Amino acid sequence: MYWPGVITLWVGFFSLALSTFFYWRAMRGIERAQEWARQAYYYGTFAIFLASAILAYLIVTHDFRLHYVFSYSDLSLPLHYLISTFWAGQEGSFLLWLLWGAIMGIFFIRFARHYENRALFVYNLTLISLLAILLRQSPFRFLQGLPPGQVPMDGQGLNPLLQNPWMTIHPPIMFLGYAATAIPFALAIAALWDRRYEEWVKASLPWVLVAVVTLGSAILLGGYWAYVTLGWGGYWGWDPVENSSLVPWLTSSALVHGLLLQKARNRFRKLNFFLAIISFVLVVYATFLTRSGVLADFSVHSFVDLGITGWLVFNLVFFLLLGLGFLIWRWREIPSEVGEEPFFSRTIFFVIAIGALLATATVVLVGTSSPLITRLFTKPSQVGADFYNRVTLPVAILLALLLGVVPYLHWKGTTAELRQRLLLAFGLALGGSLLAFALGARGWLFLLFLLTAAMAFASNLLKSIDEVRKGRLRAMGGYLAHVGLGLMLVGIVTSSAYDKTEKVTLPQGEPRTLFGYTLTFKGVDNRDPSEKQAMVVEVRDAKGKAHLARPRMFVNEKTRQLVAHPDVLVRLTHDLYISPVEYDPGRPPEDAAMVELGKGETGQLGPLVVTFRGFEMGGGHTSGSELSIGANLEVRSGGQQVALTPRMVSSPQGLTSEPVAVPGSPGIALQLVGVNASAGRIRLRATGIPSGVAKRAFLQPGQSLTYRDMKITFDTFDLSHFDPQAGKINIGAIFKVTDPAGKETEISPAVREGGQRFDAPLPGLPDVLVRIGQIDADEKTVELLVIDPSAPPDQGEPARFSADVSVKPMIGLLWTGLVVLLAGGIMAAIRRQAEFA
Amino acid sequence: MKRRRTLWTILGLALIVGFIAFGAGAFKASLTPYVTFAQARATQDAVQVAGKLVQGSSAFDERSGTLSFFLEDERGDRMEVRFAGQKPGNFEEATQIVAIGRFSGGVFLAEKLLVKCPSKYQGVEEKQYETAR
Repeated sequence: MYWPGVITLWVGFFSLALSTFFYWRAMRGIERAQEWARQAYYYGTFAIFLASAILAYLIVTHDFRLHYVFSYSDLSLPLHYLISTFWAGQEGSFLLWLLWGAIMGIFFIRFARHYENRALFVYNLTLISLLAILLRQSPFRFLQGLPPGQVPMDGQGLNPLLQNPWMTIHPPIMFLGYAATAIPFALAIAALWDRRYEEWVKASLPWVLVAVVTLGSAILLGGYWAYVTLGWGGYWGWDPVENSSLVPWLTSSALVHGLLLQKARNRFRKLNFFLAIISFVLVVYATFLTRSGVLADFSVHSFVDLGITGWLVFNLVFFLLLGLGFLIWRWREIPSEVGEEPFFSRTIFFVIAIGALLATATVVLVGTSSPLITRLFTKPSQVGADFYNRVTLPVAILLALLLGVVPYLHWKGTTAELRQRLLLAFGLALGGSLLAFALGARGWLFLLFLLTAAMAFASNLLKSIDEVRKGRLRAMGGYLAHVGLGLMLVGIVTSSAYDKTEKVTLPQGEPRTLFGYTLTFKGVDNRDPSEKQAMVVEVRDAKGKAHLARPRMFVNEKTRQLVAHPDVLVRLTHDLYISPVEYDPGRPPEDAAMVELGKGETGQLGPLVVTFRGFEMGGGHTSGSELSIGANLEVRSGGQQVALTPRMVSSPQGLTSEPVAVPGSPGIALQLVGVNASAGRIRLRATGIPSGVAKRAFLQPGQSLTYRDMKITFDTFDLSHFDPQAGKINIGAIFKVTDPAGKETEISPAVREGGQRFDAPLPGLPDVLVRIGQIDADEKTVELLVIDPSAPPDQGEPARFSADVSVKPMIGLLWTGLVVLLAGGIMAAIRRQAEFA
Repeated sequence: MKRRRTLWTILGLALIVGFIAFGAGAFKASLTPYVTFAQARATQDAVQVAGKLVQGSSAFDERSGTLSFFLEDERGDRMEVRFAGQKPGNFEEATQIVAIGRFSGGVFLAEKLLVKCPSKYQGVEEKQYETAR
C-alpha cells in the first residue's frame, strides 16, 4: 500500500462519516451542528481531491510499484493518455466518480436550503458507499510478488483501444452524470423525510437536467467513439455497458417531465419520488452489472470480477430499500389530487411520454438483465439486438408522435395556432418522407417513424422560431432540445434502417466500384510512425473528385493486439465508412536467376551477360575477424559493359553477401551466393529479373514433388546454422533428389537472416533452381518452389486489403441533433436554476 | 364522465398488457441460451457457445469474405466456426471467444462474436509476474 494515498482516503472517509453524523445531530435541533457538518464535508472533499491528485501524480511520474500504474500505463504514453490512465481501470473510475460527487456536493450544500440536513445526510451516504469500495479495492496498492526493493522498469501500458482522444473526455462526462443523479435522489428522500413534498421539485430540476445532459452526451460520445475509431460498424450495439447507462438516462428524462408536470399541475408527486429514487438506484445497478463480472460472458466490454461484488450488491439493496422504504412510509400521507384532464393537453401528453420512456427503460433493463433473469430458471441466456430494435420501435414512434404535437398544447388544452402549425409541420415532414421514399426508403414502420420524427423536428423548430420572435429566448430551451431530439431520431432511422454494407477485397492498384464510388487500394503508408499502419484507399466519387481514406490496422507491440481503426468520409448526405478487415501483404514476383561460373567462363542471367574474371581476397570495407572474398565480374547488358565486384563476407555471425546494383539495368542486382575457392568456381544470383515458377508446393518431411522426372523429397530442416543467440538465423532444408535412374543426391537451399534466400540448383538440370518459400517450424512444413527459366515469368501477387464498406445516409443528423439537444438542455438547466435561485 | 374514465382505463390497461405480451414474445424469440458444443450441434435454434481459439486455425476467405476458425471448449471438444463479418480486434489474443449463431451443415455459423480480453489482464498479471521472476 502506498500509505499517503490510503491515509488520505481514510481521512476522506472519516470526514464524510463525521459530516453525516453532524447532519443527523443538526436534524435533532443542535444548531451549530450544521456548520460542523459543512466543515467536515469540505475537509472530506479536500481529502478526496488530494487522493485524486496523489494518484494522478503517481501515474504521471511512472511509479510502477503501484499495481494500478503498472497495469494501465507505461513510459511511452504521452501526457494526455497518462491522464486518461486515471480512469482506465475500475479503481480510478470509482475515484473519479467520487471526486465529481464530492465537488458537486459543495454546490448542493449551497442550494439545498431547508432540505440541507436530511438531503446531505443521504448524499453523504452515497459518497461513503463509493469510498468504501475504494478502501476495499485500493488504487494505491502495490504490485504483489515483487522482490524487495525492486520496481518494474516499465508498465504494461494502456489498452490500445483506449489510446484515443475520446477516452480523455467520455468517462469524465459519464461519471459527472452518474454523480449528478445522486442529488435528486437525496432531495427526494429528504422531501419524504421532512414531509415537504413540493419544494424539492424546483430544487431538483436543474440537477436532473444536468444529469440528463451529461449522461446523454456521454452515452452518445461513447457511440461516436465506437463509430469513428473502434470500427464496430455502428454507434450503438445494445451492449450491456451501453444499455446500463441508457436506462437511468431514460428514467431521468421521465423525471424531468414528471417534475415539470408537478410544478405546473400540482399532481403526480408519488410518481416523481419513484422516478428520482429509481434513477439513482439504476445507476448503482449499472455499476453492479458492469463491475461485478456477472455479464462478463455477454459483453464486449469485459470487466473482471475484482471481489467487490458483495459491496456492489449491498449498495444496490441498501439504496433501493432506503428509497422505497421512505416512499412506502409516507405513501398515504403524500397528497394526491384527482381530476379530469382533457386528452389533448400537455398534461396527458406528458403522462403518456413518461409512460413510454418508462416502457423503453423497462425493455432495455429486462433485456440487459436477461442473463440474470434466465439464470433463475435455466442456463443464463442473452437477448440479441433484434429484441431491442423490435420492441423499442413502436414506442419510439409513439414518442415521436407526441413530440410533434406537444409544443402546441397547453397544460389544460390546445392552443389557437395548433391546427395551422401542425398542418405546416406535417406538410414539411410529409415532404421529407416522400423525398426519402423517392430515394428508395422502404418499410412502412420505418417510413412511419421517419414521418413522425421529421414532424417532431419541424413542429418544435416552428415553435422555437415563434418563441424567438416573441423575444422569449429563455423559454426556448425545452423546444430547442426537442428540435435536436427530432433530428437525432431522423438520423437514427435513416442511418440504421437504410444503411448499406458490403465487404470488398481490393487488390493493390485495381479500382473497384461500390455505392457510386470508385475505390482503389494504393498501399500501406508507414510514413508517420505515430499514425501506425495506414491503408491508403483512394476514393473517387461520381464527379471524379478524389479523396484519400486512411483506415488503419496494426499490431500493438506491447499487447500483441490487432487494432483496426476505420476511416469515415463525411459527405453532406451520408458517411462513407471504411472499416479494415484483413490485410494481405501479397508476394513480390519470384525473381532471380542463378548461374555457376568457372574462371574465365561467361554465362547468361536474364538480359545480362556475365564473365567471371577472378577472385579478389580480403580488403574491401571489412576488417578484424571478418574475411571477405570478392568476384571480379564483367557485366554486359544492352550495349553497356561494366566491371563489378560482389563480395561474400565471413564473420562469426555467418556468411553474408550484399547484392550489388548493376548500372544501366534498373532494379537488377547481382549477388555472390557461393564460392568454391579451390575449384575456382562461383555461384551468382541476379535479383530483379522475374523468373518462372514451375511448381510450388507445401511439403512435410517425407512428402515429395516430381518435376521433369526428378523426385524431390523433403527430408528435414537443417538447423546447423541456426543460433539466434550468436545472431545466426539461417534455416536450411534438406531435400533428397532422385533422378529417373534412381540416383539420390542431397541438396540444401536455405533462408538467411533478412529473408535472403539461397537457392540450390537441381542436380542434372543446372538451370532449374530449388527455393524455399515459407517455413512453418511448428507444423514442420516447408514451401518448395521449383524455378525454371523456361516457365512463364512469375507476376507475384499484389497486396490485398479487405474492408467492410458502408454508406450511412444522413448520419450527420444524429450528431447535429445531439449538439442542438445539448444546447437546449443547457438552456433549460440555466433557466430552472435561475427560477429556483 | 365516469364511463369515459372507465373507457380510458380499460384502453390504457389493454395497451399495457398488449405491449407486455409483445415484449415478452420478442424476448423469448430473441433469447440465445448458452450451450455446450454438443448441444449446439443438436439444435437448430440460435444459441451461444464459448471456447478458446485453436491457435493458428483462423483463416480469412477473401472471396466469400468469411472468417473461419476452430473453437475448443474446456472438455477439448472442437468445433468449426464461420463468421461473415469483421475479424474483431485482439481476436488472436483472446482468452475466450463467444460466438452467437446457429449450427448448420457441420459448422457453427456465427452472427456475432464477442472477444474477451482487453481489460482482462487485471488480476492475471500478478501471477505472471511471479512466474517470470
